[in-house]
Amino acid sequence: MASYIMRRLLIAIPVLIGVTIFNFIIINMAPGNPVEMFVNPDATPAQIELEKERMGLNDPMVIQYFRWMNSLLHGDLGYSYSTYEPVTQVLLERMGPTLLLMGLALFFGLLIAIPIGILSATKQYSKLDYATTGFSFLGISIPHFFLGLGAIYIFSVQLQLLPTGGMMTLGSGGGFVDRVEHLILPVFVLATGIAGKKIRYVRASMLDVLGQDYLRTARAKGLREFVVTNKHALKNALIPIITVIGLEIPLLIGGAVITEQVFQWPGMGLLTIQSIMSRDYPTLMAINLLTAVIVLVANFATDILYSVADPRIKNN
Amino acid sequence: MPVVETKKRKELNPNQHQHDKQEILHNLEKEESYFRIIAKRFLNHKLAVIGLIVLFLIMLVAIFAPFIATKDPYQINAAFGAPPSAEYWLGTDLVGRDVFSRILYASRVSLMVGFGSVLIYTVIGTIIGAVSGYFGGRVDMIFMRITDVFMSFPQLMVILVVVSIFGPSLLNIIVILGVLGWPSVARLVRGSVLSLKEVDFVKSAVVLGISTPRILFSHILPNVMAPLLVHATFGIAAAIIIEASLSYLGMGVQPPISSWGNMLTDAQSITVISSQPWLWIPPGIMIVITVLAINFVGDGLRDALDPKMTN
Repeated sequence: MASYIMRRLLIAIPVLIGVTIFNFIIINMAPGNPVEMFVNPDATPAQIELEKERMGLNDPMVIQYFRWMNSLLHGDLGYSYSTYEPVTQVLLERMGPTLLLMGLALFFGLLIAIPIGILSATKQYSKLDYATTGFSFLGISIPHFFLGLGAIYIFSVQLQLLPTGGMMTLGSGGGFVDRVEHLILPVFVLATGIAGKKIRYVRASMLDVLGQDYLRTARAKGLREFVVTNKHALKNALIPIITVIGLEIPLLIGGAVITEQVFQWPGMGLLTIQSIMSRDYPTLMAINLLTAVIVLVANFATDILYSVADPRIKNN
Repeated sequence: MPVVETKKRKELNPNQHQHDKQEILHNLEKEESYFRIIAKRFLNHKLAVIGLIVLFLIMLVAIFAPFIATKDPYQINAAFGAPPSAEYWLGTDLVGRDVFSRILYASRVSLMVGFGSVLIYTVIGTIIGAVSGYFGGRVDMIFMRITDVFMSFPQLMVILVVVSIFGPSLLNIIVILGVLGWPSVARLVRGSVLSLKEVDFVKSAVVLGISTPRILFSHILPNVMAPLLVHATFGIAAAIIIEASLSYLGMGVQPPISSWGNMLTDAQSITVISSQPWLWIPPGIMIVITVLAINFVGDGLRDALDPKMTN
């Protein structure tokens, strides 16, 4: 086990370095430079040039990259072009709301997908199975923003049950009920997308397992169908689903960008959009880097979990 | 059972060297029956057939948009944000353009982005995956780490950043989606190539001294086509959603060109959501119908091309 983890870690290091290089290159392709953002608009070209020299922007790319990496390793991600606050601080403020939203969405998405997927597989080709398939296809085919707008139209505008966006009612201080009310619609939108995708996986994985010989043995032993399905089959069917959940993380972050924008949820997704609009490249760079690290860690954890759940994996 | 038989036989010698005429004819026959079986299985998938018909209709709309449209989609009319009427079937947008005609023209954008970007990344991904899987060793190691790097960035995030740098436009969206989308294809092709490399017909081709590119392109890749086709179909659906999302955010196709996504941009205001639903519900429904149709086609193809399925 330890050697497997070591091997995976050794693979992750070059990828992590690659991520920083790729990120650095993309952002450096961006037009404009920080001097133009910070310097007094009346500055002469000569003054700007002097300032660029002072900030090291005329140095070769490689030197700039190492300088950036150096401050990165010291936890310094630079200053936001739009708010002039340290990027690290801005990110920390925005991370909580996004993690809350994503965590709840993943939880509810799976809470819907796993039982429905199992039912759908055990009753293959039944009406329920077709209905489930229809729902899951609809779930993956509706863009998050359209589902979000539709939800606002129905629940906020027509029925006036839930708020249209934000994290809490402004000026109310945000009690528990108020916060929950603000969470319902965005979590619903994200969870629908997740459930749509996962139902298919759970169903397929379950169908695969249901055809195995050891289940026939279990039945032949006289075990009840409920035990066969939910104990013997489910355990094995869930193994591949671990990977699928790991793969979901990057998609979830992408989905959060749109959903946060629709519901004006003050997380990293909304920050991304705001940074793009204001061409705030240090913030964008930091968001990209952070999300890439989250994805890498999620993949790593997935691999480890998978090898714990299925010992056959380590040997490959 | 006969289905499995035919398929198996085909897998064992899909491109054997045809020396005599009879064998060629024999092969053609097998090839044909293989396609017939696939087609039959696809036609059994009702939702896939409906999806294909719907997709075909949408393509017709896209091609003949100028003849179907009741108005010029770019012309600004006197009525701003007017509700649906006999003259403007789906009302007019906030600038006074006919919503119905704009929806028709927007189908062109979605299909172009969907097919264009997927074509680009499938080609790139196939080449990288095939080279990586076939040569293995250090080449494979390097390519796969690059793939890992690309896959570490949440797709929509990196697309948004790149679009903000190069500027949003139809062509840029197609190219950016195309250039960034290859890693999953590369992984898929690499995996298939790795397993095919060990199959006897490929080994015998190597022994016969056939050139490497020829082995890759005429012996290995034809056998990767099935999973690739399924992957590409779902990819088209995904690309259409991404384009719509980008355009909705104002980072995609720019007005006056209409895209289903940018037609929903106005719905960022709560007044439009609540009092002018004709502006945003119809284009949204068009996205759902198109994407759903393509996903059903993809599902049908997957079932039809899956060698494990027997009926």
